[in-house]
Amino acid sequence: MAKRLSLLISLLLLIMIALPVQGQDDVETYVLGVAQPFTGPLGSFGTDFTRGIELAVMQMNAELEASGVNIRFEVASADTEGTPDGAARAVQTIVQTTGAEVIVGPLTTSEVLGAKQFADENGVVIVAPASSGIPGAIPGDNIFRVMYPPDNFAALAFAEIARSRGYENIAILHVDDPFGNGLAERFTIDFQAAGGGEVTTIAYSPEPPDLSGEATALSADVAQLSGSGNTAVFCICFLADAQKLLQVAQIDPILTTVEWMGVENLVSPDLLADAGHAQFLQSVNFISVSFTDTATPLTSPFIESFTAEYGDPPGPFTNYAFDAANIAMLTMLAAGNDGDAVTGMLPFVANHYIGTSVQAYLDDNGDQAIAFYGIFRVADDASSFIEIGTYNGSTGLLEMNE
Amino acid sequence: MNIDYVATTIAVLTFFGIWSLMAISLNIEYGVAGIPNFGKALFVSIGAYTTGVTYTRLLPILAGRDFIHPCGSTLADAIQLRSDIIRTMPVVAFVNFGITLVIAAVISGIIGFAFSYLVLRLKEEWFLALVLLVGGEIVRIFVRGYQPLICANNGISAVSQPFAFMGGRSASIAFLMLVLLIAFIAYVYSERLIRSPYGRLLKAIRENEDIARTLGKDVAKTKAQVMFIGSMIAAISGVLFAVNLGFVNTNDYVVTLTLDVWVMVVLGGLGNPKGALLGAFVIAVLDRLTAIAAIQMNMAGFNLEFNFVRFILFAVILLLMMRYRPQGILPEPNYTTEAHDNLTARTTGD
Amino acid sequence: MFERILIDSLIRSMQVGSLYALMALGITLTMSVLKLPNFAHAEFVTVGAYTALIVSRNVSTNPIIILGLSAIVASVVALVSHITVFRPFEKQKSSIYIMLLASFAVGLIIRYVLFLTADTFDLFDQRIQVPLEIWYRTDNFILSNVFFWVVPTSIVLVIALSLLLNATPLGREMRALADNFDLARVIGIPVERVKWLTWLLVGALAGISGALWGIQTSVSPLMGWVVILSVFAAAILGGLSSFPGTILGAYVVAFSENTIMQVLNFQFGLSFSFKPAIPFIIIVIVLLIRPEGFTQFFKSNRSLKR
Repeated sequence: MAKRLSLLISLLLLIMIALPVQGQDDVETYVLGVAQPFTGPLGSFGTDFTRGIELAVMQMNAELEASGVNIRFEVASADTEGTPDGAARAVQTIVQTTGAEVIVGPLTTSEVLGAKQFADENGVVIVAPASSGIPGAIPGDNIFRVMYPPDNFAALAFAEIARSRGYENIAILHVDDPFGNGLAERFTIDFQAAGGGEVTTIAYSPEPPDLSGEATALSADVAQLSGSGNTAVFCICFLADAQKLLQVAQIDPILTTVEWMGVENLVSPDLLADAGHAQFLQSVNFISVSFTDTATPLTSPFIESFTAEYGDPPGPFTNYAFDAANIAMLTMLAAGNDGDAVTGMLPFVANHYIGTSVQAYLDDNGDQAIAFYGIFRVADDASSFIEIGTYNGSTGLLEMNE
Repeated sequence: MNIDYVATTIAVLTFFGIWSLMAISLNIEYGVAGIPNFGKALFVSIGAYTTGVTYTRLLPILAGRDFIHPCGSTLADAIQLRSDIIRTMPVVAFVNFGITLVIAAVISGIIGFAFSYLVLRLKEEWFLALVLLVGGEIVRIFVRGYQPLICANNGISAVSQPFAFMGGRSASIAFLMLVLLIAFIAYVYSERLIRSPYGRLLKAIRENEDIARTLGKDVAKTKAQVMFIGSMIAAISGVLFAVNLGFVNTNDYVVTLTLDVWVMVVLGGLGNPKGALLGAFVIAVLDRLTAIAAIQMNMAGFNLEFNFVRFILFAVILLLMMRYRPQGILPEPNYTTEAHDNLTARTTGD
Repeated sequence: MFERILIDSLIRSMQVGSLYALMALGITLTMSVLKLPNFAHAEFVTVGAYTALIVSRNVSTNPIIILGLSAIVASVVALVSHITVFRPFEKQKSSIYIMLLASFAVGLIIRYVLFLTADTFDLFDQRIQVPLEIWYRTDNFILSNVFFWVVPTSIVLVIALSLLLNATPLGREMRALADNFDLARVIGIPVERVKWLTWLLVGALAGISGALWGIQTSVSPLMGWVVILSVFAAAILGGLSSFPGTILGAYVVAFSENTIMQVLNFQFGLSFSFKPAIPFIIIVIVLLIRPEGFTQFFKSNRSLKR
């Protein structure tokens, strides 16, 4: 058996050595690392994310070639398994075996923090496009959380939306992780500062088998809050969990009578795949925020080319991955494949970058400091989401078209 | 291909050292004494959570600084404080690290000791496996929801290893040496334990508890001692695991961690400390090699998602191993004593 | 309000408990007849759910057809894993821990094959195409078609299974195997054939429960894995040998996860994020205090092991 095992190991080694990686000699190749969860509970996110990054690289390479620039980018992606330890090993492996010094990813804040020590000590740059949790707001490190604004922007946006729609009380259901806790907490503060009334919260454990108990508790909260004013539900949950919630909520006598809000990752055609769910969301005036195609001139071309390349429209957050890859590549074009130089240059480049959703702009912590959201509701035929307004995070201006 | 062989070797060996501690502890518990500890994640996590607590509470006291609350709005300041102390006051960092190791080992040892007495109440021995497996998850869920320990699900970052002040590659090499040293001590200890009369008692208990009891041995006490030792080693590995990562978070200490350690021990050879080392080494290397293969295949344009195949491959290797070489790569050697040799010589007339 | 919550959670306990019962009976069967704590059962459940998803999209949305095909596919997977993995280990007389590890490994293989499938065909977190309808409604509660699929199906299957065990030659043979393996072989029971049929039965139960669980929530590669410990808790309450004990255990676990959790949340504000600990605590308490579970209550001939 030992022989078989060593045979297998040598076979793997052979595969690796046999695979040609570099192109022509006169072209310099920069490797862009990608660390995303492909396996584990977050596995469904990884694929779409990586597609967004690969699309950016493809477009960049085509442009470089057409312009006769002798630099090409190549993607090296590794699996974080959705855990901090897995993220650290993924980043380590990419850096140590491909020479990459710039990594796009990982997905969640705890994965980012898992990779942080290695990145800081080895001059590796982490460009995280979807981490928004508060524990990641650390100044002076090698972690840049570009494009996707920290949760306090989303909290403000939802507080504004809630007030403009006349909600006096809010019943929140949120996932019990840094993202869910942080957003729920900020939202409560912002909503009440804006003159809102009572807010109740129910936290659910990540990866729940079902959410029927939580739905019943939510329904009780709503019933109690409704006594003192117009109440709405705010679902701070992942798409899969939202599906489980909707399965119960759509026949609940109380949850069907109030209006609903939901976080950004719910603006996905997958949420409307089930006819019953779609109808329910339409009937409760479900409203959410997402990146908007009126925000910048780059939005529509991105959606079109993504759909042309992969057959489906981009999933939630994929645009942020696309933008993060672009910022990373542009910085590398200026600073080379050198982590320390990229760390120095990246804020400058990012602050001059127009993204698919919003202009990039980083604060002292290296986090996105500008937010611009489109506000979406379910279309009348319940088959897609349509935009009904915008929220400008810098000015706090909310514009509703209907 | 642009492989940094030195860095890769350092990284793989560091993981090997940490994992081999886990494997050695399980090898003593299950391989030698026959206690099915399916709660490795629990005891490793105790080490990690202790690290989170000492780095946020003890470290500032040792350095003579004011305590800063590690969660919420003062989070960035607390992180800054930790990195400052570790980088500028190496002595404090070392003292803190040493105290962490001791506290973690003692807490974990006591909990392991307590668990072993549960065995006596259990109807079937494999129930212990289940109780420990589930116990790990209960603790994880509790820590994840309980703010004062490690900021609940936010975790504690910037828990650097004590050599971090050296910076760069020398820091990683120094830490690697420390890890390997601790692993080596644990290995020598377990080797000597097995060869000692005490080790023979453990094996006697593993093979037949009733006979051991008839011979006047206190089986319960012996098992408790073994759990105490095993849990201490596991907690030490947990501290090393956490500071190597620089982050303490409940997401890392799940059932799969326990299973990985079992795979190492079964692969390497039950009852043989060299087997535990080899098993940890094979897994550390295999984990890295398959990860590299996944990256390279992807870069070469293969569409197959090799990240999934990795896990299938692991499972298949484990199954083949258990099927065709159930004693592991390095089977348990037949240790004999001088007395036994003399006896055999006399009876066979050599 | 409290009354509504109570009734609502009781209905849910019943629905979830029925599904747990279907899954846990499979665990009890493998444990007593085949002497295997089978963690791969989780993945048989997931296989059933994915079959249901694919059938509902491409073949038919008739629940009977969906459940039937799920049962068939999952039982084939169960049988294949017996032939390729578990039987060789049995022959080798591997220890129960090696069998436990083997079942984890089988589960891992199936899970990542499902991951590959889901990744290739974009089948993460999808809904089985069976629309939800309200079939009965009062002021205090609502019963959906899912409830009427889950509960009666489970009850019918449980009754059928009891009949099978008590009134057919196969059932007698299975019980003989559970009681005393060597004796069963000596008196000429076709051991291997009985094992095959047991695996088919176990797989079919898992497949049906997976399909029903998928109809109730949504389908993803980890759905079986996240409930398997609750299911084990139910089987342990049944002493891992008693059929009625397991069924009662399933309802007790579902009751604690739903009704007790709900009441604790409503009255004392206990967060739902501690909910996953409930089945674990049940496992620990039962194994420590009353390892025989409910078997003592059911000393009748319906126990698999007497």
